[in-house]
Amino acid sequence: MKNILSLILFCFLTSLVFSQKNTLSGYLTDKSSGEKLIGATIYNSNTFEGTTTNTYGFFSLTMDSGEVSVVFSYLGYQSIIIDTLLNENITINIALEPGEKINEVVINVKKNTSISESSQMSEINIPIKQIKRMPAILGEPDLIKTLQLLPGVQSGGEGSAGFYVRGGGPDQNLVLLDGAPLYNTSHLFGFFSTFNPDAINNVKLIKGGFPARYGGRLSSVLDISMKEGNLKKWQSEGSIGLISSRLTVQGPIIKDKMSLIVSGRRTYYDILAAPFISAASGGRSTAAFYFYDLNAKLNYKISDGDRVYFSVYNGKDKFGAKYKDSYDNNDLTTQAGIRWGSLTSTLRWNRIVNDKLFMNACLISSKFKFDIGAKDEYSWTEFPEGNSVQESFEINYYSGIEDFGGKVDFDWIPKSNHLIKFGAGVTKHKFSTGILSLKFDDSDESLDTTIGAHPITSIESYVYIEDDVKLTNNLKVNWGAHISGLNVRDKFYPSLQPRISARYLLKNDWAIKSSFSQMRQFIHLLSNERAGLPTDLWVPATDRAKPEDSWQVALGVTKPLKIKKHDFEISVEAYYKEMNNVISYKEGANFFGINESWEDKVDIGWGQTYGSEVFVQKKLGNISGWLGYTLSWSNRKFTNINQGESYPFKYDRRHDLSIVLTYDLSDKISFSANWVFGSGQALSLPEYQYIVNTEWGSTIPVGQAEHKNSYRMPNYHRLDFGMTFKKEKKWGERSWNIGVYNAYNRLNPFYVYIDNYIGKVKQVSLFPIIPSVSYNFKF
Amino acid sequence: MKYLRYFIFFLVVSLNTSCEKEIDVDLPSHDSKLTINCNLLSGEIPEATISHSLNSLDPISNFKTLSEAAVILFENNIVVDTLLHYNNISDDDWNWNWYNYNAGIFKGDYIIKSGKNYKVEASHSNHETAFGETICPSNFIEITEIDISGLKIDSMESYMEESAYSYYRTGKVKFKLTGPLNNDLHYFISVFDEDKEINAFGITSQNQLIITEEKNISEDGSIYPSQSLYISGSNGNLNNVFTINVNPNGPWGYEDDITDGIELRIEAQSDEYFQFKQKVIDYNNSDGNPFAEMVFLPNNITGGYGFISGGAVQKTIVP
Repeated sequence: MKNILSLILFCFLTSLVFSQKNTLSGYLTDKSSGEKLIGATIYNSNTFEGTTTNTYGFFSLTMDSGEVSVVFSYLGYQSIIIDTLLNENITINIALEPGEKINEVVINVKKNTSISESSQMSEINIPIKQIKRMPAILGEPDLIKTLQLLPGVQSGGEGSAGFYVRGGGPDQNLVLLDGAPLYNTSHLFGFFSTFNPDAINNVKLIKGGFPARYGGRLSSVLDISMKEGNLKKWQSEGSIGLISSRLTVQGPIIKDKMSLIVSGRRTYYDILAAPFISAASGGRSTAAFYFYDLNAKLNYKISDGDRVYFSVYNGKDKFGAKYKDSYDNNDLTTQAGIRWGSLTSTLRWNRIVNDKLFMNACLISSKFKFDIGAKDEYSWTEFPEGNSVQESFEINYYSGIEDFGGKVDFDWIPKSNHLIKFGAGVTKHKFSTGILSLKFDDSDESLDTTIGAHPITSIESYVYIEDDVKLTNNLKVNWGAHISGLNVRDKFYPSLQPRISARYLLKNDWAIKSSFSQMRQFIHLLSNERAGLPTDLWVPATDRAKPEDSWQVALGVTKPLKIKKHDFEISVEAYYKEMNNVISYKEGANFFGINESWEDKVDIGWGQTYGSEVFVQKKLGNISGWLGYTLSWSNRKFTNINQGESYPFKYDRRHDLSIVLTYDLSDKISFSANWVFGSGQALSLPEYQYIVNTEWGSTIPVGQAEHKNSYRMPNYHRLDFGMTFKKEKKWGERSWNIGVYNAYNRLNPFYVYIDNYIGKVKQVSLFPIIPSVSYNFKF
Repeated sequence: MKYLRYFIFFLVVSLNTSCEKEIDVDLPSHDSKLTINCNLLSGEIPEATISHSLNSLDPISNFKTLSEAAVILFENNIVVDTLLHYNNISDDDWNWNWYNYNAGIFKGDYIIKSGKNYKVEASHSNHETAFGETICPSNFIEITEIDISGLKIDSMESYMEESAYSYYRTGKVKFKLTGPLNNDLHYFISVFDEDKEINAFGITSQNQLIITEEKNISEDGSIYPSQSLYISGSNGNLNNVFTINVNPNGPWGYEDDITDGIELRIEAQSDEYFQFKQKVIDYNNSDGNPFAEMVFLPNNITGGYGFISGGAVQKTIVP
């Protein structure tokens, strides 16, 4: 361990050779709103030395002193060139003007600032504008469903807002919302994701070649940054859709110094349905089923070098029904419901320590709670005494996780060819792994008791260091280490995770990239393998369910391509990943049992996944979009499942293809369409049935098969399209989005079962062709 | 507005379109095999359920009784008994839904012994011969020190008739279990009214039973003291006092037959059988849930399906 650290330090120091250089640093923002631009390109047009803005919009570029010509560019914004004499360190904040028109001169001189430049592989950034333009189910733009259209990312099934990356499970995705981990990313039993597109600034997905700054999950990192609020002027935007509406208000509290953004979304199916439910039940029943999101962020610029932010996310789902009846002197009220929700908050301090050192410090809290319960109340008047008697019974089951922690990250840019990131963090987790509360009260006796596991507390901590270094003109390497540990039940589980990724430039802008990363995950998700259900239970790694480990290697090539003035980016990657200590519910086990510990309900096993991905993307021009194709295999092996033999993971999907297109016919009218195809999910079907004795003395028929997941559901495919009609109004801008989900009414499988009465296999589908319309406004 | 009406109409029709359809799945053809389910208990006569398998697409009404099947019991490879079909239900019931009526039961008259190897072999004209083997374990733990001093008879005035009383037993019976535990056996302790009509007992352990780290005591899946419990353990000695709460819920326990004894029963079960039973419970719990993972049951029948196991039983009647 000591040797590795010494080696890392030695390499850093030897590569930092001093010469007469100066640094240009600052923030890059949107000119109209002051919003940070993340991942924008900054480079010296003479030497092609360059950098990108970090997650907080900060850049630092060290160049030889003298006359320099620096280009600032970002997709969807007009690029600008700054010519300056760099004889001293300069701090400058640059604002780019939104607009699709790209400065052609800049484009011509631009070289290797695209996909081939970065040493990072398996990373995709999706502009939020793209997400909002995609056709969506019931007109509700959905971040996760857009991610599902990328190579290497799969959905959990028809309509699901869960995602599976490179054969990993839904628990293996680290989802960060402004740095806070989000443990539940779906609404409405997984059909919608929790992200309100109006509140999001930037989305980054990493599938492999993980930089050392990320840790804690095996398969992916989804890093989402919320908007920071317009520092220039007050602005509102919103949408009125078929099932939900959104409203976002943002603006300066103190111009150019302090801003606020508040964004909310709520479904209103319950409000629309309430009169019908009431009429059908004679006024005795009411129902509540809705979800809402609320995002808010306060941004305060203390000085040019210091800014603080406070962001909050609160999202909740509620499904419940209440029945109330009265007759003679009897009153009966019965109600049942299920609720779940997340609450996260981040207090962040960004400081430009000097022109080469940037600091980000955060205090983070995150909470997820699931609750299911029922309550009966019965009251009557005794005859003939006239005494009033009341009885009640209440049962509730709840589970959840609470995090509180802090972290500090530094970006140190000693030279233009070095970007060193280092930092540390600590998080306290508190797991409630299933608690049942019972209350009973009548005139004779009462009971108020709680049964179930005690909360488990664990402390997770880490330090990391990475260096993104350009060793030669052709070779760029990002290497580092993530060292982490978990303290739970008086035991400590340490872990050293080396990470390295490299890019080598070939002729004609071809670049070859490779990576190796080792990951460790200290928490498990007990899931029934269908992502996004609130019943999924987060539990800590313990002695019996040890931390999950993985290693992944990837190799790929990338090339920016120009065909008839159209710019494309092509990347092809192959990967291989192995995972240890992955967990799965034992066959037949479910979340609700309280008589046995969750550790008794799981099997510990091994996973293997490999495949290749092709991604062709066109970002600019009237026609944009991408084509993604994945060929993959994903297997699991558990001692007590499938006689200990390896079997296909439920979401093993051999072929996965998606085509996404958007076409701007004019400034006012645009079209979008996507078509997806996926091989059927792996499935166990009974091949024969026979009789067994039960312990209560009867017999039952049981359906059995020789092997697990040896069948496939029918292939999945679907076409969606949408149209947007924009119009400038005196008060601002309005647009109509009209869309069709599943345009050719393909009945895709939701689940498959055997109907013994007719002797056939049947599939149940969820969504036929669904049209949608929404009205959007901005002023 | 007119267009919006059309749009909503189209949306409602779309959402209510039938979303279920038949699909073709290439399931392998299945040759019917014999099924043997049998738990041989020392001190009791052999009993086995003999049936056959079906293709998974066949309706369950296709299960037929194989009353003419030949079922032979071997003890240490020597034929000791022939099990005969036990005809306890009408033909109509067989043809309907026979598996609910235990129509495939075959019984013998040989008394099973502890420590012996048993093989049950079934053959039938339309099926390949199937067999399974097991060893009947010895029961290592014993019931001792039964204390009925806490048992009493109580009465309650009838709601229906003034000055009429019904009598019931209440109170506690204590007993001790002693003996070595071993890794391969699970002890299933249950308590019944002697004629097995009444379930009005609850067993609790006087002190916490920690017999192994991973498996100790479970209360048969219920929150309150249950009338049965499992002791599962590895190396160690059991020396625990248990309490039977008779009519723990008062007169509403309905245990009003005060002339009956209380039967206390310990069944030693092999770990394989214990796991099999858990899997059957899991199967039953998840049956019909389209999102549940399929539960695969252990099968130890050669040439067929099912499960054969051996156990040992110890019974005591508390007067």
